[in-house]
Amino acid sequence: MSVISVSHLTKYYQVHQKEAGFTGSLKSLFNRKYYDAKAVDDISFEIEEGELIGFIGPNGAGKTTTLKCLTGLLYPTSGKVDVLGYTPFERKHPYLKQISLVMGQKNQLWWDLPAIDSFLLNKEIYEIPGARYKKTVDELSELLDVKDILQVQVRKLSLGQRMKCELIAALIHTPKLLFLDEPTIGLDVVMQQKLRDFIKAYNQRYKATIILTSHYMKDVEQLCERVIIIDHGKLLYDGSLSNIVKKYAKHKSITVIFEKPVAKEKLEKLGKVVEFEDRRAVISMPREKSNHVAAKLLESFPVEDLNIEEANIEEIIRDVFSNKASRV
Amino acid sequence: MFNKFKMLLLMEFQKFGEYRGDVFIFTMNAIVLPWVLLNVWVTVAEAKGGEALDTSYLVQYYYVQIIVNVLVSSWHGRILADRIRTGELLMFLLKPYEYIRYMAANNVSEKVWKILFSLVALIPLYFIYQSYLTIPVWQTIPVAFVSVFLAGMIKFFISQVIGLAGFWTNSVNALRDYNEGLSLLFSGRLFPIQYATKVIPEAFFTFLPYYYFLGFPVNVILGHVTGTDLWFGIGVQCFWVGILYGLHILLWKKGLRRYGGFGQ
Repeated sequence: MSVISVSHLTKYYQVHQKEAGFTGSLKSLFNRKYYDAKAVDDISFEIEEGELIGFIGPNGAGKTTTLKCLTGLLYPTSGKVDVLGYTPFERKHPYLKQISLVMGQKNQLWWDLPAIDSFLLNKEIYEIPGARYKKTVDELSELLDVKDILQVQVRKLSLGQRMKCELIAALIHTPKLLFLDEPTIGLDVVMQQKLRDFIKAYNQRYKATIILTSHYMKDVEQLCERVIIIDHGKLLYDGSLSNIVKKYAKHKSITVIFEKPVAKEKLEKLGKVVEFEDRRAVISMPREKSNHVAAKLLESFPVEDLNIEEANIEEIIRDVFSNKASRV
Repeated sequence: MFNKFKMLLLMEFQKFGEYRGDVFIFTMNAIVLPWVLLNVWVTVAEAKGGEALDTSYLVQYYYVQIIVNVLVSSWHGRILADRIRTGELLMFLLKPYEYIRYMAANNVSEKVWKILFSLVALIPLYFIYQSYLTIPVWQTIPVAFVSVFLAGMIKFFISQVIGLAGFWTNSVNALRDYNEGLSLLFSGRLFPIQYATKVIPEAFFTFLPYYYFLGFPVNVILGHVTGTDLWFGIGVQCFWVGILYGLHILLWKKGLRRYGGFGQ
């Protein structure tokens, strides 16, 4: 069953344009020029219950705008958005009670009070029964290992501790749908991993649908089976992470270690030599030729070890964004 | 419903407790001007021999003005405008609770702190000017309560409307200053209406909301507005509450439609 259905969603912002310098400023006083910036440009997709989806794209791609349209923070310019059977921008209370948004750069916790006070406020706002509130806070604070800091003023917490408490505040009403916008931004690698583990566990335990945007590919690789790639407001890809490799990775690379030094010129006949040392080389070639090149290496060179590798997912996505890979 | 607001009130009250020093300074700041004006007017009145100006009335007017000013004060427009500008408002919009109630809780809690702090000045001032001050007759108390409540609502919604301008402009502070300037002149803050109307046309007091959130409730408490004038004044207060509330709803809806939640 689809919990999110987006059909031809478009969101344009009217942006004021000014010529450079003082004269430009004077001109714009009398003749203001505007243009429509296409933040989201005719995208459609469906998301099923319990899915954990990665929403990825470079800065300004339209990820956050899409998320804001889905949460009801923005009115779409056109198109239809249906989330949990509601039109998000009507922001009806029964709808808001079923969703949550965590923004890595925004706080919902009260800065001057301990996190537990913000939780209590959310308990009242979301009308959570006392027993359920206690059970959820206990469970989440245990999962995130923050029991000892719930009574500490939020402004005195570290970024990582605060982020964990933000997550609890966002999940206290056990939302069916969770939007995570850059949840690991600014965190160290240990804390990033802890948050990833938690998100995965939460998804499994509560069968919640989670939509994640992140610039860290590790977040997406570890958490999401399905990804939606968006760039310049257009949907470039919607499918499994593994299929991205098949679809966009046009090359494979072979790392080979030789028993004795070989001539680089001979290797260049097989493909592009990306790295070359005394007895080690990395050769890149079209995917379909990788088996043939491997056989040729084993046949004609003193090979000690050989490894065929897919391109790194981060590199592939970087290529997609920079238009190097062919797009459909 | 009430549990939510009660919780918010407690949170806001605790928050202001963290900033009690700031609140104390703001409260004293609000008291200084009427106290200075009280002294200026008393000096002028006594210099004129108490014939043209009623010294006792002036002392009572400014003393009660200090109390009313604390009771009707609103500063949340600045907070709202900041939250719009920085995108912080987004986190409130995602809650199943109307944003204005957060502001109402902020406003009420702030007043409780301010009332407590204002006693620091009001008690000594009472003993200094005791000979001029009289306890209001009890019959005026219910209607004074209504008038002060409506005055608080007018000021609350003026602050709200100015804050909502943040959806369209970053210069909300300029609007606030402009409003403060007009308020000084027409609210009865600088001079009581009966003296001001000798210089400024009465229409400015009658048809603008400013007089009805300060000078009018002060005069109601002092028993200087009675009969038809009293009910006309209360009616005008209700009118302004309605107009400003409607304007707030309109600006909120229009503003949200164009809001992008900047600062992301």
